[in-house]
Amino acid sequence: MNTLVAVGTLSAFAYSVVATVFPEWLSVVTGESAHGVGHEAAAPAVYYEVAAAIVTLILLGNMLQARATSRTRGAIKALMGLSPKTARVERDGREVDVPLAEVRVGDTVLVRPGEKVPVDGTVVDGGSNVDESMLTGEPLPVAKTAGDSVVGGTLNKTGAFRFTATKVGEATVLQQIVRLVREAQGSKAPIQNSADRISGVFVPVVLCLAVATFVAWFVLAPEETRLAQAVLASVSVLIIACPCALGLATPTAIMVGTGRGAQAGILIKGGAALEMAHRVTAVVLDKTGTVTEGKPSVTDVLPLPPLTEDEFLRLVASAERASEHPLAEAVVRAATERGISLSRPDAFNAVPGRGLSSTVGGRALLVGNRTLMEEGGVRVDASVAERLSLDGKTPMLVSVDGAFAGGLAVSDRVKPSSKEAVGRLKGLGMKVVMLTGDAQGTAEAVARSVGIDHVVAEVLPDGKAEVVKRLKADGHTVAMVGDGVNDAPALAAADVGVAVGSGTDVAIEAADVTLVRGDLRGVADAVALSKATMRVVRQNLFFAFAYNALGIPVASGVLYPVTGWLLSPILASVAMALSSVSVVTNALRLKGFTPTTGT
Amino acid sequence: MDAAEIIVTAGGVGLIAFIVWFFFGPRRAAQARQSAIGVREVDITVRGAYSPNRVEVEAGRPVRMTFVREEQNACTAQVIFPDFGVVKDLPVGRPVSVEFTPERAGEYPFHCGMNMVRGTVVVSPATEAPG
Repeated sequence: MNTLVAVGTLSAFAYSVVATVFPEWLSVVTGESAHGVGHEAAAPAVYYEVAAAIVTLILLGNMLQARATSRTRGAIKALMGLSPKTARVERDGREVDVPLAEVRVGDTVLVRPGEKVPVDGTVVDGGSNVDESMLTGEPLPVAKTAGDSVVGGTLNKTGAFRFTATKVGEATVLQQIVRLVREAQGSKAPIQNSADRISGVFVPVVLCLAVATFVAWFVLAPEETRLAQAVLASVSVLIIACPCALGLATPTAIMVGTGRGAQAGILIKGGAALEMAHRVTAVVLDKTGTVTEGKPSVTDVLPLPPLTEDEFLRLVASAERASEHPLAEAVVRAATERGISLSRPDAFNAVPGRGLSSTVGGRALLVGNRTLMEEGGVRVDASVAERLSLDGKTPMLVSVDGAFAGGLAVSDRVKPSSKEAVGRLKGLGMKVVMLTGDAQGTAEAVARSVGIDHVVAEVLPDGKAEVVKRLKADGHTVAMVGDGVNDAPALAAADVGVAVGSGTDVAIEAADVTLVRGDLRGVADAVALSKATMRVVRQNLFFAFAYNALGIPVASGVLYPVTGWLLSPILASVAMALSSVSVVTNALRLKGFTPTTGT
Repeated sequence: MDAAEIIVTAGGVGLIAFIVWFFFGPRRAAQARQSAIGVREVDITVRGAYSPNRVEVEAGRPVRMTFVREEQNACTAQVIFPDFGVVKDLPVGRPVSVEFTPERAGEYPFHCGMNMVRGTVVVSPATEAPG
């Protein structure tokens, strides 16, 4: 841009200097006589005011653009401003304020009401409500007591507490978010490629067009005015051309869109992810931890005689002790809560997607789904299995020494927001599919309760990616929503992988889009935000292309033979200054994106 | 066509040829110098453009590019290396270093925040063990 403006204004200025100092030179070129017979030849026109006005207007435009552009980076500044400058830590038995950079992992940090949490950590004593909205978008303060994690940059509201620092400096969640957003804002969206190709050759092409305009006017215009008109038209071409609008069209929208997302707890990895997200036609939801809370608890214990309920639970929980599966944790917790002392299993073998086999106190146990029982040659009491599957509960069937011994039901509560989220996704025209390793009946009950019509149940962990690939083969653009840890292959297979965090304990690098808040409505918000951002990108690109495609020919004077219009360079500079400001201002509209309704 | 028109037309054609040569003609890349600890270093002045805007380094060797922005123009307030995930703000007058190690030979662009001002890191295949 500066090259074009500099060449344009210097041309106008140099022409004017020549017209002032050596007017006879121009008379020679235009074919007029400087010493007219019988009358004084008119002095050639000068364009000092054009050069001055152009520079003034362009600088004004630059200033407006710089102010608007700095506002597009506001989200990063806001995030970086969340950290307090100091932290109150215990050192040698005393409470001292130290600069944030001096807080070490393992330090005990004190936070009083109204203060910001300086770094990440785990509460050791005290309790309070902490406002995490600046990182998660969650409007309500979150209660924190001993054992809960707290995140640097969040605001302590009511009580005081002490916590042990677990992450400091660059390792904190806040710094990870800042890094991710910064990288996302510098990344490219594929839609930008066309603009890049044009802006790469823009300046030389416009310079060539300006030269061609000059030559055309000089050759075609009446002899007495040809030089002045050639100068004015070529200067107008140089001034009106605005590569900035093209260059700013996509990055500013991506910058504001990703920044706005980060403020609402939606971390988008970059322009490519943002662009892909707006094309999503099918959303695959992993049930556990996504549609449901992911913290199952035992609701029914149904042993068959002669086993008592406690003995049955002791055997199953002892077998499950060695497992890290969330269902196993629920069973062990249920046994512990009843005060049952557990044995160490003699043998343990996890059967992926089915359950486990184990030996406890010399008794051979199979604990898992119906497939496991069938493969083990166990005849299942259908009425027990049916009772355990009611209301979307997950049945865990048990055989002891090869005979069916009863079962347990484990229920994972559906998140309160899941139903609304599914409704919104369907409202956006998406096919919503729920994916789970649970039995068909259990899965369907959960799906029904939240309004999902398509269920793929009894899927083994490595089969999730296959389901995603099948949907893609059917022509869908697929978003896979999972917890980001167990669903990594499916997230990678999807066009857009969405990791749902729980609170701020989140694997940020895991997916294309990370929802800091474990709320499924964030998926609809992310899609709505990407649609809004891409709409702005398309508007900007259209405007920038159209502006240059129309402006340059008009400035060169193509309409002159028909309409007599010839654009003044001053008007060209006004148009140029406003064009780039318009693009940035349009991008800034995304700041008003509201997560529940879109723009 | 009078003499002036012939001169202007010929001058215009010549000027267009010069513009094409100036912007698209072959250009030489600046060689990075090697520091005592084996890092290839190059200083880039930012003033309407990156100078130099073509930097030649070798694959597998760490590179440190130090940018000094010598203008207020907001266009160049940021430098981005998309292939290396680097985004840096360039405060006026303050040197800002970007460090990375290109693993593979090829051409890697860097540009300002709005992709108008550009440069290229030309990575040639490694010729000897890094040291």
